[in-house]
Formats: sequence, structure tokens, C-alpha cells
Amino acid sequence: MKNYEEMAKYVLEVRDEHERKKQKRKIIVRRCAPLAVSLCVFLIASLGVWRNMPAPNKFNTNIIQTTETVTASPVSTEKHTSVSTSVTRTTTAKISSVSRNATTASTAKTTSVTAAASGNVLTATRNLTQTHTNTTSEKTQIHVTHTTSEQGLAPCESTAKTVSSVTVTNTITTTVCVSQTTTLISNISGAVTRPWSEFSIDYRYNIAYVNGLNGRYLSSGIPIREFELGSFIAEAEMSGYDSDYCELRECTAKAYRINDTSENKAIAIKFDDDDNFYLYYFG
Amino acid sequence: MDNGESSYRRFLAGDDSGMFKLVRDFKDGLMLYLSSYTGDLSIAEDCVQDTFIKLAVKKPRFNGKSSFKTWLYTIGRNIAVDHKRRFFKHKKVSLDDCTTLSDESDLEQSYLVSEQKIALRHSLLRLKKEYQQVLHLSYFEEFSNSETAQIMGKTIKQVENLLYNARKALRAELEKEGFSYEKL
Repeated sequence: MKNYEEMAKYVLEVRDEHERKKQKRKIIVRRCAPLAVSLCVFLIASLGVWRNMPAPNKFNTNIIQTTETVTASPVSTEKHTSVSTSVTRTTTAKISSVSRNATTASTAKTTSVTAAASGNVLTATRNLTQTHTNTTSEKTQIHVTHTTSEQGLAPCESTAKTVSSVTVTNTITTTVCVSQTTTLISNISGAVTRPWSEFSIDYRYNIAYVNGLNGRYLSSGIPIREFELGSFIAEAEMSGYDSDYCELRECTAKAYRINDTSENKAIAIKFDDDDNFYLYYFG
Repeated sequence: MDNGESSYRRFLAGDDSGMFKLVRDFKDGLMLYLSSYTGDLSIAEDCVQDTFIKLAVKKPRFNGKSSFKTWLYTIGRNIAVDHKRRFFKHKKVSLDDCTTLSDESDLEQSYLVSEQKIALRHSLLRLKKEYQQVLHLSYFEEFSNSETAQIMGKTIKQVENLLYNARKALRAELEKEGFSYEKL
């Protein structure tokens, strides 16, 4: 049995040992704290960035996109000169190309649906695969298609510049978009013109403002069947950019709700001159 | 003696001699009390040591709601209970038990001093553990019923009942051996 001195000494030894360990732990914590804190900050920052990334477009995720095969004729010298001289007009076209990304994609969708209806499903699918091996995202496709449609306005070099300026604005797909554009242009021996009036009506009037609802709606290119329609909402002010005349065109249409879908997400638009209903999503 | 509080304060202030004084003042009494929990004096000694280590390492704050001795005995009791719970399944009889008897008699000689008290403690060891504890605290350490209740984690009423029964059992035990103790 220990006497009181031995016990007290032992107690103090244990205390000293414990304090030494405590000191060591403190030193380790002080050394590791900056690293741990910076790691935590980095994780929090990454989480914040990840959460604030824009969600992918719900309506266009399942769209089968096609590009039209361009059978272009060489650009006439006359056209080349006229566009080159009218600087103002080219600039306006640049701006319009920014706002019409989604619309171009919807046109592509319409093309594929038509092909399927005519019984050429297999052919259409094959075309799709071949055309899109190089595209990586929907946004990229949008730019490429747009480039094609702009060919008629300017020579190849001029168009390439236009698209580049668009991609600078949409920084998300910058690299892919530019490279794709270059490839396409290199394959084109000339430029084509597609008149604005030949596009489907929802493509032409791609922006809708519904009376009584806040915000604007953009065309998705998807037709809506009648049994999916809900009640009538209000008249809608439709607008679209006429690239032939470089003018903003406007018309009115009727906006309807879609069953099981909030009007804050999507609505159906019925044009007076057209029998179809088109899906417009909140943008 | 100021019941150890000033020694503990001195120790907290950095004076190690305070711990020496605490150990000297309370080691033996606490060990005898805890032996009624552990049933073994060497284990009781470990528990006493752990009690002082807890004071030295964790430095718990003494708030003065009870006497320092009561507070210390409560800590000791908790440690002994923990120890008992932890080692209940691994109870073994070691060779050290052979020396326990001599150790215990030395301790009794030095701490209890009077022959009558030693005889009383021998009889007490044959009683139930709870009776031993309550009698030890009341008769050897001279704690009040409320202090005893605080140390044992019981109500005063429970302690009073326990003391009554323990006294009766001890009286019977002493009568068997031909002793009489006037305080019972």
C-alpha cells in the first residue's frame, strides 16, 4: 500500500503527463487549423458555386436535335459587298443571335418530328448520329444552327466573327462552341439564305409576354396536344426578330394553362393563324 | 483543519503542496469508505488514487454547496461505482489478497486508532454493503445524515431508514460476539 507521499507524487506525475499531452495536442491543432479552415472554406465555396449553377432546361432535355444539311451555293460577290458595307446591319444581327438561342433549337426539333412522321425514322436517326458526334451540349447545337442560318447575310469569315461574339457572352460553352462553328464554316463552300417567313410560327415569335403574368416565356419548339391543355389565361404579346428585314415583329396570341403544370413554369400558346398549340417555358 | 478547501484552492493556484496535504488528510478515510464499495482494499486504494487524479487533472470546481469532504467523498464514491461496474464481470482473486489483511490492519491501526472502533469495524464488515457504507460515514467519518445522503446519492429519509436497519443489524452482530457499543 502506498503512503500519502507516494500517492501524491504519482497523482502529480499523472497531472504533468496529461498537461504535456495537452500542450502537444494544442500545438498540433494550431498547426493544422489554418489548413483545416482553408479546406472548409474551399468546400463551402465549392458547395455554394455548385448550388448556384443554373439548372438544366427541363423542357429541352429530351429534344432530339438535328442540323439541316447545308447545300450551299457560293456567295455572290454582290452579296458579299453589300453586307460588308452595311456595318450597322451586321451589328444588329449579332444582337439578335444572342436572344434567339432557344428558338433555333426548337426549329431543329420540328425537323426531326417531320421526318419521323413521313416514315423515315431510321434515316432520320442515322442523320442525327452523324451530325451530332461532335456536339457536346444543347447550347453548342444552338450556336451551330444559328451560324448556319446567318450564312446568307454575310460571307463565311464575317459569320464566324458574329458567332464568336455570341459565345463570349455565353461563357458556359465558349470553347466547344467556337470550335464547332469553325468546323461547320470550313465545310461550307458558300452561304445560304433561309427566309424568316419560312420558319414555323413559334420559331418566328419566340418570346411571349402574357397579360397578368410576370416575366417572359420562350418557345420550346414542342407542340402541345389539346387534351393536355388547361384553362385560358389571357392574351399574350408575341415578339420575334425578323432577320430578313432586321426588324422586331409583334403579334398577339392566346395563352393557356397546361394540365398539372404551373403557369409559372410553362404555358401553351395558340396563334390566331395556326391550329397548333405550342409549349413556351418561363425564361 | 479547514476541511481541505483551502488546500484544494492552493493546488489550483499552482501550489503542489496543496495536493500533498489533501492526500495526507483524506486518503485513509476515503479508502476505508470505498473498500465497502469495492470489497477489496487495494481496489479501494486505486479508486482513491483515481479520485485525486481526477482532482489534479480535470480540476473540477468546488462550488461550496456542501463541505469539501462531502464533495470529495461523493467523487470517490462515483469513481468506485464506475470501477465496480466496469470490473464486475472480471472479478478475480489475486495473490495480493493475502497481503490485504495485513494492509487493512495497518490502516485500521493508523486511522481508527481506538480498539473499540477497530472491533466495531470488524463486525461491520460482516454486514450488507449498504449498511457498511452508511455506518462508516456516520460513525467513523461523522458525517451528518444529509451529508451521508448526498455522498451515497440517496434521500435523507432513505439514509435514516438505512441507518436504523444497519444499527439493528450491527447490534445483533456485536451481541453475537459479546461486545456492546454505547453509541448504537
